[in-house]
This record gives sequence, structure tokens and C-alpha cells, in this order.
Amino acid sequence: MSLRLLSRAVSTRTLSSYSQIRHLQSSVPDSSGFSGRDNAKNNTNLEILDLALTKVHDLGWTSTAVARAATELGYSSMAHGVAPHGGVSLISHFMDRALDETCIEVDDQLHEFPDTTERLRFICTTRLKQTLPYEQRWPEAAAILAQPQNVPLAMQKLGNLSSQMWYLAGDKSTRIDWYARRSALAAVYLSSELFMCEDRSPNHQDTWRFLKQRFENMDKAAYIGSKTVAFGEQFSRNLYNILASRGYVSH
Amino acid sequence: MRLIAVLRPTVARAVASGSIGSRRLLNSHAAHNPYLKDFVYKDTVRVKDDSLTLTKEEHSMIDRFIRVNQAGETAAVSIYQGQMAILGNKGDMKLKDLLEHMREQEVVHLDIMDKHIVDFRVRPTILQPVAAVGGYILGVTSALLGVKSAMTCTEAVETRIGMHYNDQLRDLYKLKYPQLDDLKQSIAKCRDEELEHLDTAVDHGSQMAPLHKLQFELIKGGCGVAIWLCERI
Repeated sequence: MSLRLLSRAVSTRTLSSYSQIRHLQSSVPDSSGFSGRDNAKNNTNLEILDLALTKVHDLGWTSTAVARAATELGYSSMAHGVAPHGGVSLISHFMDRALDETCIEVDDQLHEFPDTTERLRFICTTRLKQTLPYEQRWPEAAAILAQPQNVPLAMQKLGNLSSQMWYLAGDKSTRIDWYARRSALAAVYLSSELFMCEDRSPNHQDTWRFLKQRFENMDKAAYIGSKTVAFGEQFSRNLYNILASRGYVSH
Repeated sequence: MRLIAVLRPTVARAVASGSIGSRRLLNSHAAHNPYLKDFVYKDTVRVKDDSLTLTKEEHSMIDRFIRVNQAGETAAVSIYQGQMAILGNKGDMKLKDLLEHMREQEVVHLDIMDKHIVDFRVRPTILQPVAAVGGYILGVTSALLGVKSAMTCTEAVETRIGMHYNDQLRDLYKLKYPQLDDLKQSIAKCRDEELEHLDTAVDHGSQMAPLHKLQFELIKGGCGVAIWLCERI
């Protein structure tokens, strides 16, 4: 019970910054050029979805949570346009929010990490902490995302996530390694997220250790890969020279 | 400035130590600006070291352009490499120098596109190895058919690429961001040099090749298919 209260407290704290922004926004005239009915409708949607996230702990990733939130804000509980695909829309809203918040949070601290892997680990940790308030319910979200009809969305979100993380960490890859890096990071992130949901250690220290080990493995794999490539290059060069010395290859 | 320093001590420290620039600071502050939309990064993409914010649609257009350009330049480098592998040993130093010169220009173009890939956060195409190998095979095959056929290959490829760069420039000029100027300029530079290669190829008798029309249309069509694929995959 105390855990549940704690996690609810954390989740309301995470959301408080959004509601502050929204509160300020409604009290000042709109000068950003986003005015108009579309924006108002969009803001209402976001308001409902944000409130629905606080209901996830009780009601799960369902359209019931969205309906409850809509009712509380004084809208019809039939506000279907808010979450056209029910729970999936709520999950996708959460993932967008969490990534957005991660970007804001890490932006001014990244310079403290000189090493790319350290930076990545920091970003990953920050992102995982966004899921932390929902850890009891996150396996359900993972199960929903694993349903065949939701797989494209899940892949898109995951790709977006790892791409954004690499960008923040300062990635400069331009070739096929672009894909290798992103898929490796996505695997690290996903496994850590699932581990975190099962982790009952104090302060989630097991999760952070797990994450660290995954990154060490990733580095090791990259090292082995580069050594294999170097070996292959040297080997083929030697082979070419032997063939050339026998006169099989024209210079 | 003082307000920011109070709110975000880490930022103040970073600016004082000079490890992050003030532009980064402004962006970071903008993230908490109540005048902005609720979602700060969801529908926009920040590119060029955060100096330019594009909408998703604008970014996806630039993304497509740079992706296909990089693939094209990769292929171009390997086409000339393939031609060099065959024609470079024939003892015609003039031809060898010409091919070498064109290849070097393509390598410069490829470097430019690589830089843009990083700057504009573009996803490189997954067909890049295919483009490299395919270009090499095309270069070797056309060179085996003779110098004139090799020049026909160059003529066809550069015609298609020149058209393609022009289409891109036409679309890019609709975006008025000054930060895009160097992208437009580098694409214009690449286009000019590709068309120069086209003239060189015609000067070296590309149109005297056997079955010139057939070869030309085949390679040009193949290029079109490759462009279509690389824009998407």
C-alpha cells in the first residue's frame, strides 16, 4: 500500500510541471502563433491524456482511464477522439511525454559526461526513471505493445527513442553502423526496462547495475567487431600480396 | 539571465565554465517557456546542433533528399572506381587522370553529404552497401564494353542525377530558413559538377558508343529506380 502511495506521489510530481505550464499558458495571451481552434482542441486532448496517466495505476492502460479523466475534467466520457485506439493511444502518449521530458531534463547536464557511453547511460537512466512511477503497470503496456497490430507503432516509438538518445549523446555515424548502433541501444533499453519492472531491490540499484553491464557488453561487442574487421583487412591484404608475389595478380 | 541562473544552477555553472554555449542555454530555457506548446520536441526536429527547428514535414523532406544524395554519391564513387579498375591499366594516362579527377570530385561530394547526414539527423539508407556494390558492377561492366560505353554510362547517370538535384533545389527554395543556405549551396555545387561530368562524357564520345540510345535509357531508368528506392528505404 505504501509503495502504491509513493508511486502515485511520484507520478503526480512528474506531471505537475506540465500542469504548471498549461496553467500559465491559459492565463497569458497566446503570442506564439499557435492560436486557433486546432490548438485549443489539441490542448484539451493533452489535458485529458495527462490526467488519464494518473489513473493508470488504478485502471491500467485502458480507455476507461481516459474516460475517467475526461469525466473529471467535465467533458463527456465518450470523448473518443482523445484516444482513438484506447489503451495504445494512452501508452503512445506516455512514451512521447517521457521522451520529451527526458530531452528537457538531460539537456543541461549532458556536458558533465565526457564519454559517449556515459552520456548514453545517463540518458537511459533518465528515461527509465520516467517509467518508474508506472513500473507495476508497465508489463501490461509491454504486452499491449507486443500485440501484432501494435507492433509497427512500438517499433516506430522504439526507433525514435534510440535515435533521439544517440543524437543527444552526440552520434556521428553516417553509414550502415547507424543502424547497428540504434538497434543495439534499443535492445539495451528494452531489456533494462523489463528488468526494472521485476526489480524489487532498494532504490532499484540492481536495475542500474544491469544497465551498466549491458552498456559494457555493448562496448565489448563493438570492440570485438572492430578487431574482426581489422583482422579481415590485414588477412585479405596478406593474401593479395602472396598472390601478387606468385604472379597471379597483375600490379 | 539571472533568473535562469537561479532556476537552473547546472546551466549557470556550465555557462560560467564555458562548456556549453549560450545558444544551447536559450534552447534549454525555451523548453520551459510557458508561451510554447505543451510538447516541446514531439512535433519538431532540432537540427544543425540545435540552431534550427524544423517541423516534422520539413524534416522528412530534407531527410529524404540527403539520404538519396548520399546513396547516389556512394554509388558514383564506386562507378568511377569500377571504371578505373578496367580502364586505368590500359596505359591511357589522359583517360586515367580524367577518371581520377572525377572520382575525387565525387569523394568530396560524398564527404559533404556525410556532413549533412550528421547535421540534419538523417537516417542513411540501408541500401548503401547495395549502392556501393551495384555502382562498382555498373562501372566495371560499362568499362568492359569500351571507353565510349563507359562514357555513355557517365552521361546517363549524370543526366539523371542533374535532373534529380534540380528537383530537390526547387523544393528546398520554398523553405526560407537562412540556416539551410549551405545545404542549398552544396547541392547546387554538386549539381554543377555532375553536369560538368556530363559535358566531359559527351566530349569523350559517349554518343558514338554502340547502341548508345539503348544503353543510355537503360542506365537512366535504372538510376531512377535506385533513386526511388533509396528515398524510401
